[in-house]
Amino acid sequence: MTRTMTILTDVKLITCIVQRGMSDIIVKAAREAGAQGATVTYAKGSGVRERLGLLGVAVEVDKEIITIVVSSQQMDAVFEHIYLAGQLDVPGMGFLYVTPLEKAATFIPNDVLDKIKP
Amino acid sequence: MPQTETTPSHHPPGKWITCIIPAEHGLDIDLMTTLKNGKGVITTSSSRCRGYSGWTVTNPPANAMPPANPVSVVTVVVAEDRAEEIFLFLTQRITHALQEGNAILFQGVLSHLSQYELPVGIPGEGHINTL
Repeated sequence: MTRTMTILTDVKLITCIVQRGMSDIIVKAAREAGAQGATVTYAKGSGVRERLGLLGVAVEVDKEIITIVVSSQQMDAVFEHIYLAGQLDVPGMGFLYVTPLEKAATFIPNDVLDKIKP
Repeated sequence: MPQTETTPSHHPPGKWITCIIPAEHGLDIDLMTTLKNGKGVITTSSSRCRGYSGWTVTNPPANAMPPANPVSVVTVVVAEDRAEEIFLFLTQRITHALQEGNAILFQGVLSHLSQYELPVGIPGEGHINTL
């Protein structure tokens, strides 16, 4: 039996670190922007102030790390959706970054494969 | 007093490979054990996470959260010249999960990599002591 494997090469990894409880909002925003999956890990943060001065906003030590693999084409849209949904322009809410990937392998439905084949 | 300058020894450029797989059936332990015993790779780690996979859902509502499943994230760090071999090995080990849409495997480049070796000659290592 011959098996074929689809290797995606034009992919990026988006990592977002936010306060605990925010991951649902981030995953939902990523999905609305076209992302097909996400992974959420619980973590402890450090090096942040417990309170942000005049604002009086507590910065939780408990964090959630969301990782999402996206195509390079989708990257900007997913990045922007996450940034806005997570209110990452507000001090202490979190941050995100993108790591280039060499390749990725996963299951892709045939109808999607047909669309992306050159 | 003369000072001895120590410099960290570096491997050739490395790569990291991450497998996100179902947390059931100890698949992460199986991967790490076979990497160690079959390929001599000991620079692996595993953690438990919550995973969302869109491919496994048929016609999901646009504004709803996809169902979450427990997943294991296995990260493997290897020298650059072994990355292709290990990537292929991992895809073969998790073929079933990949075909079911429950897994993803991806690889990236590391700019720096330190050496990692286990101590040798420890008495009793590798043996299970029973009372």
